[in-house]
Amino acid sequence: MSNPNYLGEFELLVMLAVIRLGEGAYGVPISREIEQETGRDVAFGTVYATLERLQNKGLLRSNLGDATPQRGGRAKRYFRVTATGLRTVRETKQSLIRLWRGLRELEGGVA
Amino acid sequence: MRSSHVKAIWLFERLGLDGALAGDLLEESASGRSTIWYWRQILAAIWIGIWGAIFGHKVLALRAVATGCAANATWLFVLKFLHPWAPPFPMMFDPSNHPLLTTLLTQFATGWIVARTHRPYAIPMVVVFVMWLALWYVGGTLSGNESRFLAHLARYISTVDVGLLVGGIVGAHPNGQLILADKSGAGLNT
Repeated sequence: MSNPNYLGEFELLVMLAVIRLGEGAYGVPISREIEQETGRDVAFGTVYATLERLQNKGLLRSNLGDATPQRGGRAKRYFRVTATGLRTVRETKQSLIRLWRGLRELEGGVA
Repeated sequence: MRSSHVKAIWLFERLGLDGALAGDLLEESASGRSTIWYWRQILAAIWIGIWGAIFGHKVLALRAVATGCAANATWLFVLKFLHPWAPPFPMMFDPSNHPLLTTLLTQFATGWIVARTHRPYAIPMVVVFVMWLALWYVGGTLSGNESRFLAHLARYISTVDVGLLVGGIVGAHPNGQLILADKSGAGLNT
């Protein structure tokens, strides 16, 4: 029953941001996407630590782009979701939908 | 911002943090973020990187403490040999019991040794040893009915911890890896 690739809340946010951004997913747009969609302040260090964890779980993969002077000669690290990553996000979504279903307290949009 | 970035890159290299993260922070700060925001992000990245390495490598952390203790025990032996009147451990390393330079040099050497023997995670492992030694020192000071505890603690932090950390930074490999190591071996383009 236990899923080794269970996604925590922030991990799920990062995975969704990477999927939404597609080819252009690197640290800056991923952090901006999360900030815009959730309204919370995001530390880039937290995003990178989460990306590393997701990569170690085999849910993401990364490659380095070219270095640019605008970035102080540092390359962008682009992230892509793997097939396992997509499957895990789908499973997490299904789990959340199942938990959500039938909760009268959460119906109607009133807190 | 560029001079801040050079300092940040230096820190990141010593800590083994991903150069792409430093580039992202510079890119984002160029879009109108303040210097305070930039340095808050740098400090957060360092904090997260250090704790992530410590909690991710607990056995290595224990080894770092053992290595640091062995190094300090060596200095203790040498100092006892040179000065038989020296007080017992851990007050041995109380800076008030030795010339400032002796304490700084021995702790610099210990920090350097811990860093060199734990190079992929040099700084986090030196930080573990600093914390462990500080706790030991606090315990030793409190159990000794020390009436000037805060004064001693301040002296301790300003010499032992500084010596260890500077030694650790000097001994750390500039391209040690903590976060998002470039597993392809392509390196961080500079």
